[in-house]
Amino acid sequence: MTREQGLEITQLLQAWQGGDRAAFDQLVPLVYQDLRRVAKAQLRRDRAGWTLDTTGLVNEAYMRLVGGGGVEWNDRGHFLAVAARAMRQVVIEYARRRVASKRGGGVRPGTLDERVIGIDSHAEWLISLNQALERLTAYRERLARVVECRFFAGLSNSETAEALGTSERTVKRDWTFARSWLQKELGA
Amino acid sequence: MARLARLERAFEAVTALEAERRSEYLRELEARDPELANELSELLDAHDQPDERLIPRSGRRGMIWDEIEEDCAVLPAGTEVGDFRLLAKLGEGGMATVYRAVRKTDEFHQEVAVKVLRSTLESEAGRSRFARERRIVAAFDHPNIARLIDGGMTPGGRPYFALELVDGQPIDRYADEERLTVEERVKLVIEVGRALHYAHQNLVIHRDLKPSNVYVDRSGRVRLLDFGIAKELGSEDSFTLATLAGGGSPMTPVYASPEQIFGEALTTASDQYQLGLLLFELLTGRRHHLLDGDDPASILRRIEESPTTRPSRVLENDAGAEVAHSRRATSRELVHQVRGDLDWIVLKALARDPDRRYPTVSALVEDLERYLLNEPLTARPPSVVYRVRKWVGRNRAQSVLGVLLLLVILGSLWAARDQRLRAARVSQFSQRVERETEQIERILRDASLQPLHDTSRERRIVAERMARIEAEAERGGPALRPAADYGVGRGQLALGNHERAAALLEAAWEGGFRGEGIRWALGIVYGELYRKELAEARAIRDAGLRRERVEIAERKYRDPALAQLRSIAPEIEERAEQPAALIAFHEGRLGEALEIIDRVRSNFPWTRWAVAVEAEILTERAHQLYLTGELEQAGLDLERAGQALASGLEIGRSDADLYLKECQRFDVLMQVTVWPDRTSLQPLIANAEEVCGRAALIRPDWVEPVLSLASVYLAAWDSGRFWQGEGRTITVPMRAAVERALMVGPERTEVHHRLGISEYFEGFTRVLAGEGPGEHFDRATTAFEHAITLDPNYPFNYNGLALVASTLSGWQMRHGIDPTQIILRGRAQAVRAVELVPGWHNARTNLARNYIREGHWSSLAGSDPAPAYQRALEAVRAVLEVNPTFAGGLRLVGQAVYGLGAERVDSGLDPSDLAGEALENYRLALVERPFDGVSWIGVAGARLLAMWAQPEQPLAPHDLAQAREAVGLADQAFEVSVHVETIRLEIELLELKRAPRTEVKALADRIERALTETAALDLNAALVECSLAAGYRVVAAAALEVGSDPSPALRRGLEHAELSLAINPLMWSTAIERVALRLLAAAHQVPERASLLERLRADAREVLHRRPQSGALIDPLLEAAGALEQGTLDPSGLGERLRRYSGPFPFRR
Repeated sequence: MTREQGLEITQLLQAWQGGDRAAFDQLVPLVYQDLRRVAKAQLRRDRAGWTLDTTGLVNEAYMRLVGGGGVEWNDRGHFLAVAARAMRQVVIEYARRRVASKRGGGVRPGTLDERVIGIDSHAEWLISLNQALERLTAYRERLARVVECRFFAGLSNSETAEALGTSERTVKRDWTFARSWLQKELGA
Repeated sequence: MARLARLERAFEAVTALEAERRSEYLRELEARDPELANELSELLDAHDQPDERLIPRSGRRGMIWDEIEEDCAVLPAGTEVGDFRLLAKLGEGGMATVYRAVRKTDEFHQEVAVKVLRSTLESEAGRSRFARERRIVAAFDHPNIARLIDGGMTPGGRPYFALELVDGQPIDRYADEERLTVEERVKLVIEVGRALHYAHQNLVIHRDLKPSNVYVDRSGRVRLLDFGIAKELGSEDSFTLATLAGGGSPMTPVYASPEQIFGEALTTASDQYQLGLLLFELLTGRRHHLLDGDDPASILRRIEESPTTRPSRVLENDAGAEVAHSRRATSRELVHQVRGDLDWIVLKALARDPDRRYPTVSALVEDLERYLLNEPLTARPPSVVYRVRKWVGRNRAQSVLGVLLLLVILGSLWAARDQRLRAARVSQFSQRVERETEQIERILRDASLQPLHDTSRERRIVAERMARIEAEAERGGPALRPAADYGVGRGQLALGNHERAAALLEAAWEGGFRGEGIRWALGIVYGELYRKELAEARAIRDAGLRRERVEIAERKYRDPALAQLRSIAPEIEERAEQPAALIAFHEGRLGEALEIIDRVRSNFPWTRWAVAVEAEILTERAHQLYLTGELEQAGLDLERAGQALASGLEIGRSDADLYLKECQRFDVLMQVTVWPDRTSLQPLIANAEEVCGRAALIRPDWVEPVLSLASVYLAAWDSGRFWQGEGRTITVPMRAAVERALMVGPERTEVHHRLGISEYFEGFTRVLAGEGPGEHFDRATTAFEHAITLDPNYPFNYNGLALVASTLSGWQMRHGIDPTQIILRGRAQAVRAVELVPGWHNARTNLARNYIREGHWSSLAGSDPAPAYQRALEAVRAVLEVNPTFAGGLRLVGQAVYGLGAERVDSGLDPSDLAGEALENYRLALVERPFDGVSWIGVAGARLLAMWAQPEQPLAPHDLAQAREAVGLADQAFEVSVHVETIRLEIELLELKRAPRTEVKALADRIERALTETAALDLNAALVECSLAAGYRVVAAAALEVGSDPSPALRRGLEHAELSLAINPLMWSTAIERVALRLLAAAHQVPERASLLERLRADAREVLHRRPQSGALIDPLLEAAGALEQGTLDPSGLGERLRRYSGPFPFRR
């Protein structure tokens, strides 16, 4: 990966725009890697505590990609959709790790420098959410995409519409249904 | 999934309905599909009562994790932590939660505060800070600081520690509730100050002093809390470069000191500032930083734009009765109490510039104590009235003498204050410069990221900002100079003006300016200069000279660059690798440097410095590989460098520097590649033009890309592919590039050198085309001479002058003009170049070439050329000792030896050994440069000489074939060449000269056709005309021999001889051919025989007079003339003799 990751992303974005659906799946890991690194850096920087500003992350990743201008607005939308998927992966990865560490235990008491991860009921909730999303994808992929954009990447309705190339009204309708359905599934 | 589709449709339908109609719909549905109805109803419940977790919050969209974290972090009451049982949550810090707790075994229910680290995902920083807080607090033992009781790990694995529980309230609330007077409030601040001072003495800075961290317990004792973001002095966690990358130190924005906001290194002065804020707030009941939010930018603006307001002014404006009441005073009384001393103390404590504040917290405390004692303050400006008033206030009975004494003391106080003020001003200025510099760098970075455009505007803005720094320093006096030099130097660095940047940064360094910033900048700028030197050294082909140049560069730039880079260890990942990579690069560990860069580029694919440095390293390595002959590997590196640059340019679309590097890469590529022909070079030139054009578009006032393009043309020219016919496809654009460079300026020796070269090329092209050099050589000379005045040590200029002299003298002697003066002038320049850089091969070869010219001239003028050729051989052998395979040198040896051989054969001696030696050297040269046409001509010439030497032996077909092959290869290198045509003709001619009589007629016909063709080329060169004359002489002789009419050939032969002598009257070989032609005419035209023989003898005498050693060539002719006269030789016999007569060797320049 020494050469032209940026170029690769741009090309894939264009391919995807041109209708190549496989390009989307190739894009996600590229953006994921970047997001994950930025997320870690943000956590390490630890300015505002340990919170992750996902919207900020997605935007930051985008700015890094385009290097400050010139790329079509259209590309930004497409990128956001990719970034939202990648963000979902980042979040779920963290959640899985937290659950794993909770089960695994293995924390030696008494040392302050030990790497520790707290108990987090939300981590399990997030994992269930992810599984429910898989079911939703199988039914209608766009619903899952809307959830990725709205929930994981924190995009607004209009941004989500831009990202998915659909209307804001559709996004609203999809989001209302998907959210209620997910809640029902998770509540059960 | 059909089920989900139905559910979705039903959901959409039902949510479109009004609430009261929904149940109706559900009932209907239930009748048809109870299961679906059930699901739908659940769905509706979820819709009506959405789970907060799923809803992106407005304003802070996407901050899902902070919600998730906050909930889970709170440990429920009753949780046992170590020896303690938690009772309730007390509060929340940046990274920890504080609980009220009791010791499990404690009968007295002694309450403690337990601080537990909130889970922090992976934040190493948070955990280590938590550990640090514990360590810091453990070390304290002060009545105003809560003590550490215990520490450990919660069952969940989170670290915690227990502190004395401070049962009280925050200082501001306490002061108001207790209705403390101004004096009482000041006393509390004094107490806080003492606790702070104690921390400072223990080398800890609190960094987060604010009312909520200062408690007053029930006994009225102040307790300083929360060392959560405290810092141990000297520990490395804040770092000015961090702000460049958007890092910065933790803080509470509304209570932040300016240096915290700017992310500068923090000292105790920051705590002092915050103590000032606390005092301000306790006096006025209002926060000092009035902000809409906690946006650092707004604080920054506020601090920048509005000076600190005096507390008394605040109270005058808005001290309501409530504020006054809580201080047990009326509004007027309150204003009066605060006005004056307390105003001054607050103003001093809240100075923007740390150096203008109190030097220590205890100094602030002392001033507060002075205020309580009604003594003069250090903060107060030393107005005499004030001092006296204070003094009188305390010592009403003192004498006038005392007053006078006081005045003396005041004088010295004034001086001390003046000094202090000056120091403060310098420091304040430095900080402003630092900020300004960062902005400058940001502007330029942003500019380079934009699509391809002219960045002049951005650069102008930056220049204006730098001028402002300059002007301010100018006004402020010499004390501000180092800081200004530093700021402007860094600006120049960002602008890419490395020499200027280096000079300024050095001046700043000399002036005592220190810090990470300047070390960094110096490290970078020296590195740039070092690499620039390396790039220039690369153009030097001679190993010794190159090494010399590189060593100087290492001492001058590389070593100081390494020293500066090593002295800093940036904490930012992305930047930390840069010095490491540069250090490895500069130390010659190219592979290691590339590994670092690879790592950086895979982690940070858009880091442009990495791209630029990678390209440089690869170009450098390619050059090294080229020197060791690994051309293929060098080509691969250059290709990789090209890829790196291409990816850099994807992002930095207006990064002129990257474009320049690309252009320089083309330059090296030209040199390392062997170009079979012109067309293979053309795309490369077109690319270089494109790339340099872009760099010039981005920075129209930058000479480097234009200069670099001129170098590309120079390299293209050097390939030798453009000399013939197409020369102007190089000279014209090169000339344009140079003119552009002249226009852009500044006056640089390199620019004028390229101007000289382009004029030289133009003149050279004209000379090759048979035209005169016109004024080009004069202009070239003027340009080189001007370039020398700009930099007398730039050796290439002398070389240029020597080149001009060489070509010009050649042209002169071909036209019968005595070139001695030019040759001597050229020699002087070549010698100067050799003196300047003794190891430089080009200088020495030019000197050798100069001697060879002298040899040619001697040969033409009839004197002995051998001494000149010998000196040429000496000069060129000095080069070959260092580099035995240097093609240019080998070729020169061939030329000198060939000249000696030609001279020998024309003197009737055997040149075979010399012919062999010349041939060998040319062939060695061709091993290095297989497409060198000049060497191929040399090979053909040497083979011709070898055959020439044995007139008695029949020609071996094999030798002839080889000679013809060499001519063919030489011909491919040139469009039309006088030498190629001459030698081609002479080889054919030699076949006729040596042919048995039976083949004469057929061969003569063939030769005649060849002669017509060559004549048709109209080369206008004395040498070719001489060969044509010789050719017709042989044809005429053959005609006479076989009994046909020689007249037409004789006429043509004489015409060409006259033409040759008209071009170059000194061409004695033509004169000899004319003698031979006249002899044939005398044999054929019996009536005019006597007069022809007479003229012939006169001509022969003249030739012998001009070149006494010509006897070997003339004598056979005179002997034949005698025999003809005496009738012992018939015309046919004479014809055969003159057909077989070799004649002078075709070698007169």
